[in-house]
Amino acid sequence: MSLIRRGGSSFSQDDEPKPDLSPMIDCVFILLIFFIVTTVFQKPPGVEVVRPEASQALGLQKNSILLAVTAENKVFYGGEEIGIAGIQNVVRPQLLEDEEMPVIIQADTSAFRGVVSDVEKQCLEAGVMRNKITLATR
Amino acid sequence: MPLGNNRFKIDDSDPEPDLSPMIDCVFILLIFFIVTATFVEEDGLAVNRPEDAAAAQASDNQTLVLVIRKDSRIEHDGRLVPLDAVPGIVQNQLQREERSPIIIQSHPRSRHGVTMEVQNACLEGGATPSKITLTDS
Repeated sequence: MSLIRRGGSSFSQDDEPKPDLSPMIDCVFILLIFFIVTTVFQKPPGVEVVRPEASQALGLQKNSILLAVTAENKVFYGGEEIGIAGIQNVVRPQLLEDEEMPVIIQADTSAFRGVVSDVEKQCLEAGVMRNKITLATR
Repeated sequence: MPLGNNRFKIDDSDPEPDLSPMIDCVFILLIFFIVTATFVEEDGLAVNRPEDAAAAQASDNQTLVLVIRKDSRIEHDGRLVPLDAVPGIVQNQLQREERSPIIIQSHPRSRHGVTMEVQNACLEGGATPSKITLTDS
């Protein structure tokens, strides 16, 4: 029925200047659904760190848990300081959703290696896969 | 109420509802999702941690051990080496023994950036990423 109406409106009905919008709506809906599905609300760590430079760095996976270690050796997640002790609490729930969830540690160049190492250990304790932990670089 | 009358008249004559407000709404949603879709581009290096501390000990001279001291200086074979020399050391080691693992042993008080630079230098020297292990001293 709609087909007949559409054909009629585009060819003979001059008195109705409105074009048929349904195909455009379909198209927009498809785009909308695409963007809803692909959007990952990834929590940024909320602090800016000076990352170490590395020429051999690889692109990291997009949907990851982002942890930051500042130059003052504080651990941040989602804009809050969680400390070393809070890492397991934030990592565990996300691993329940996807057990292969990677972790990206954004550590400041001048942070202590020991702190970054503790963060790595805590992630492993929480159950992050051994090869899924990465250190962000520039 | 001319407006109300008018609306009712249109509804009666044309069974199709006016879709424009819905399109506006959908467009706003669409734009919102396009804007918020943050495609986070992050570069980095993989972390290999030893299964346990004992396994990371250099058992023979096939393993290349680079020590980062508390003052963030690099030590190899008991001598201090500059960062520029690391790719050469790695290359030499790989020429002698192609599959030799590399252990970067960092002091907890050394700077994180130094460890990353050394790891990067090892990769520049041709090391396989999975052969590089980071440990604490």
